[in-house]
Order: sequence, then structure tokens, then C-alpha cells
Amino acid sequence: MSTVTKKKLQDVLTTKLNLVDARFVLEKAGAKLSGNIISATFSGKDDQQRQRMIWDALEDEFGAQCVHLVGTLLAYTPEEWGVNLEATSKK
Amino acid sequence: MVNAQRLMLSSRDNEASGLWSFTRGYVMAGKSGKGQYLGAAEYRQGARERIGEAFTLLRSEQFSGSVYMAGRGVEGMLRAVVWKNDPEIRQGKKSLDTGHDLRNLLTLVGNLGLLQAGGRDDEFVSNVQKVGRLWFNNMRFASNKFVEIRWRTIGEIDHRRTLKRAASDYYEACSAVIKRCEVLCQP
Repeated sequence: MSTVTKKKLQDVLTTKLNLVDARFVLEKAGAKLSGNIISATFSGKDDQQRQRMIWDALEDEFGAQCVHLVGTLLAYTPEEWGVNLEATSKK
Repeated sequence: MVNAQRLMLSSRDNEASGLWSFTRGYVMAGKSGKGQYLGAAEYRQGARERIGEAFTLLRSEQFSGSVYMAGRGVEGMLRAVVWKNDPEIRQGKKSLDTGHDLRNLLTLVGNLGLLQAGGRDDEFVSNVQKVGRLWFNNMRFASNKFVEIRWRTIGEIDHRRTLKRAASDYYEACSAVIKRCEVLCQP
């Protein structure tokens, strides 16, 4: 079974989505890579738009087998991801 | 309406079978006799998968399946947050006895003091309440038509607001809840 490395996945999504200051929090989920992507590029887009961007990019790179390589990738803006960090720093 | 009530009232049927016990947070692995525990990591991973599946179904306009999956994802993520943050539940001193009522799970999360005051988590609370109003455990058996009639009955859709629009908004609410819980689950 073919797999994709974290580095490859990061490179593909960063390039194809023109991600600005992207941070990836990826993990293995069975045979797939899943995780969270944080970037200001997602600002102003709802979650369906973000998912379409991600899956269109993955399908473009890996074809139909992308669903066997990659699991759920949740897309955040830095503000959405940093809610708790911000609260901690204010204490 | 009678059928709708039946579907709503029998929400604990799978627990009654003795195979599953969401209230205690574990599932027994059938014939092998070995216990396979469902804890924070499994609830979280399952929930992430459910919201991914919900998007796939929504994209192909399979609305009832998408709605069901997304709601189940919300339940799983709320369970993950409670499990991870309540040592008494992890140690079995307290049970996660909420049935599948998302609003009860929200209360448990709130009681843990994890939500931020001052408006930051108002949207989170509002989204869980919305999903809790629209989702029910036995939706797993429901047809597209059943969901449409039920949502029409409670005013979620009408002649101007289609099931497609409502399912899309509902997905966004579920996704927002799951994403916030994911942040709360980070080490």
C-alpha cells in the first residue's frame, strides 16, 4: 500500500494552496495522515470552502487514491487555533 | 408523527443490547472476550473521521447521511473533551451518563470550566445547542425524506430555505464545534 510522508503532504498543500505561514499538526491515523492545518490563508472562508480547497489540491496531486492516503484535515486560521494560547498569555 | 415519536423515543436501544456502553465509555469486543476501551483518543479520532465523511456526503448532496455523521462527530468530540478532562470519568468513579443528548454533554464540558467567558465561546455554545436541536441518535435509521419532514416541522426549513441550505449551515455548525473541541484536546 502506498503512503505519503508528512513532508510531502505539507509541501503539496503549501504549494497548491499558496498557504501563508502555514503550521501543520499531522499524525498517523491508521494508514492515513490526518491532522490540522493552521494558516491565515483560510481567513474569510467557511469550512466547506476550506475542505474543497484541500481536497481539490490533494486530488490534483494524488488522483483518486488521495482518499486512501489522507484522512480528515481540519483547517484553522491562527486566531481559531490560538484561542487557548491567547487566554493563557493574558493570565 | 407516531413513527417519528417511536424513532425519537428509542434512542438507547443499542445500549440495551449490552454490546455497547457509551455511558461507561467502553465497548466490549464480542467473541474474543477482550475488552477494547473507548477513551478520549478513540472518541476524538472517530469524531474527526465522522466530520470528514459528513463533508464527502454533503458534497454529493446526500444530506441525511451528512447530517447524521456530522452530529455523531459532535457527540464524539464532546465525549473526548469530557473524557480527557474529567479524571473521575477516566477512573470509572463517575459515568459519562448523558445518553446521546448533546446539550447534556455541553453542560458537562461547561462544568469542567474549559469554555472561555466574555463571548469567545458563546458561538460554540450556540452551535452545540443548534446541533442538539436538529440531530437525534436514531437519525442513523432516517431517510432523507424523514429528516426533511422533521426539520420542516420544527421550522428549520420552509418554502424559502431548502434542505440543501439547512444541511450546509448545519455542517458549518458541527465543524466549528469539532474544531474547537480539537483545540481543547491538544496537549
